[in-house]
Amino acid sequence: MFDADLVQSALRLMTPLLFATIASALCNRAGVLNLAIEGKMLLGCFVGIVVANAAGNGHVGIVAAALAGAALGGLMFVLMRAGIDVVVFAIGANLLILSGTVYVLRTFLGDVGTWRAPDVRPLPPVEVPVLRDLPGIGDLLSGYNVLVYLSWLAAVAYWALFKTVPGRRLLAVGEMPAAATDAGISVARTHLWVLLAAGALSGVGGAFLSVGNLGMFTRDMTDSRGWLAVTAALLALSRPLGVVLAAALFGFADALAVELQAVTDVPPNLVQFLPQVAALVALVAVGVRTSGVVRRHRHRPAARGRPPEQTPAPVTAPISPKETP
Amino acid sequence: MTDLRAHARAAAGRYARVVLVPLVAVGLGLAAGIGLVAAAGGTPAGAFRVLWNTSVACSGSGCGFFVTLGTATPLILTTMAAVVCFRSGLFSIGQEGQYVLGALAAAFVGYAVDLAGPLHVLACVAAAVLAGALYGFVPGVLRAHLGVNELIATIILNNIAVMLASYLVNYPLRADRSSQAYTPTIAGSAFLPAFVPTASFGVGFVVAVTGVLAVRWFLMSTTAGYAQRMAGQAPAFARYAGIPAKRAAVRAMTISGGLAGLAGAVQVLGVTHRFIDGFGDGTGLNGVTAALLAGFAPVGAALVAVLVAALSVGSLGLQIDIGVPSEVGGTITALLILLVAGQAVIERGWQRTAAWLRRRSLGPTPSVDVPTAASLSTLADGDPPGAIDDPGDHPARPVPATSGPAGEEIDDVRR
Repeated sequence: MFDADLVQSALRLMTPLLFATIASALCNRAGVLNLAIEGKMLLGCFVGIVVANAAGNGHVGIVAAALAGAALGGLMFVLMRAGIDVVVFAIGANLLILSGTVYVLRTFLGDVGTWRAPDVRPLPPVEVPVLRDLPGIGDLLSGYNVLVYLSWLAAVAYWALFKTVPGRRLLAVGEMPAAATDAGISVARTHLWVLLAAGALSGVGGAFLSVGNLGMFTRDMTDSRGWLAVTAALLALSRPLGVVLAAALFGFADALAVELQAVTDVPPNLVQFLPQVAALVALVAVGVRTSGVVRRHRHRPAARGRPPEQTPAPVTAPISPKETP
Repeated sequence: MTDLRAHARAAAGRYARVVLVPLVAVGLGLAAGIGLVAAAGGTPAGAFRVLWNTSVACSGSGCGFFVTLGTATPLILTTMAAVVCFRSGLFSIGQEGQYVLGALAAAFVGYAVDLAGPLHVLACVAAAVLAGALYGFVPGVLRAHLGVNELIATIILNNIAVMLASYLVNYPLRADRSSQAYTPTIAGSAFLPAFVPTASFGVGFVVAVTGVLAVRWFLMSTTAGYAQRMAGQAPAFARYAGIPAKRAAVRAMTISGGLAGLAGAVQVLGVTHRFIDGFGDGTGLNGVTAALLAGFAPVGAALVAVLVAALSVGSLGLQIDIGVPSEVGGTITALLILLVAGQAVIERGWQRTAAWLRRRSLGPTPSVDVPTAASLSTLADGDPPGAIDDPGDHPARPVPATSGPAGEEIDDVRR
């Protein structure tokens, strides 16, 4: 049962999740609670396939999906600056896109619940020269469409981001906006870039489902993957390596659930259940770590090596001890 | 005299904002709906006729009004669940999971336990309320004592509840091997009688209305309700007054969960008579929507819940009768949420303009702050009141619990 098919299926299933998880983690890191990931994915999913169909080219559709997601991210930024509650906005936007895509589907594309784009073929598989030749695992790592590799690249970029100055500034903005402002970092500009990037990533993640995989669009095609991504980012504590592992865990659970359903009588829900419980445990663990119970023992870089009575009392929020893995 | 006039002006301004802004939002939403109907090839007049006929008017086959009230019954209760926690400054969206688990508990007691008449109904309801309350208690405790963001916790708990219920109904509690999984039918002694059987309008509606009145009474007329509202709306004051904010938060989440569980029981005992896989059809989230639209006032939110139910009943009619996609209903609701979210911004702009005008002509008048959806949920995060007006670079909703210091988000509850 644990064969190459399962791994390949898991890698495919984790791709949209990986995009969206990175998007969610990026926003978390910059201090924006972005719950519109689901809507942005669905928007990218829909816009991607419509544009791909019109242009007759899947790659154009992917770019359009990224732009659509980024546009929604930009809108979110503008409204956030205007003082709108982004959580309420996200709930409204998710519902609007869910209903709106089906409305457009039924009204203008003449389909009841599923639209098979006539001029879209799924993206072709790509054989990556170096990966393909790796002994043993070459077959597992090569032969996916371009978006799968793009998601891996995005994960690497997310890791590399925090090694750069802009990445560090992003962390500062997320941890303590006032301090970042005093240091001359524009919180607004950081939020703008983060929301644009998160929107584009979510959009591409959604487009993987429609353009990249099946060449069709169905009602609510993302099926709560955006919420799953929010959960996965949480489980990962928004750390780069964690993001990959969490997305892989959810993808693997999905793949295993599909396989179990086909082969055995084991309830598929139970497998998908575990990552959720893991996320809840992670949430509680973060709570325990940051709550009063353990705060005394937190390691504070500024106070390192000094006796306790000389440690400066935290005036405002405590600074998270470790920024990068 | 001047005092009186200033007071009258302030009161007028307050009511203008409270009444006018939602009316304008509904008007804009309806205008967008007309546009959507027209784009789909329907005429606005025809669409309104269909909406009216399906969701309100009576005909030979029954009354649309009763269908609307039947649809509204569980929705009103999940709306009350949302109102209770929002009013206490807790942005929980766990109603969906609590609703599902409550329904499952009611169905299980309904068919597995053998009791006489009213006692059986009570047992089912008690089981459902208990299940929902427990499922609200957990994120409540996490929030109050560990500072876990209740919004994120309830999203995950919703997923878990839906999967757990789906597993239970597919395996241990499944009635037979049909294509759709459901539990056995509950015993006749556990049925909630229906006034209008075809419309699923029955005793459940009376329960829902009682629930609304009880929530209103609790929030507005009891000490505990007052403590909760203060903990939510004025955390600094609550702390100063020695209100036990932790206990208020846990209590709010527990009561909210119990109400959502009750909604599930009412739906199972009165309408479906069994738990069916896929029971969570958005009734919980629609409750959040209705509560947001009504600005968290119990009676107003109940009325909005009926309106949302009418819209969803009516938009099904649109699809059947004139071929306009029923998603028009969802689209209008979504637009309304967005407009309500924008309400705070518009109001603030209005206040600033008014203040500027006053400075130029009249001199100071008392200004009264009306809590709005945005300001309330911002307060929930522990921002000092007024932070939302800060034009500086601080985000309106800082630091989710997912990264870095989640602790200070909840300071108001913890200290």
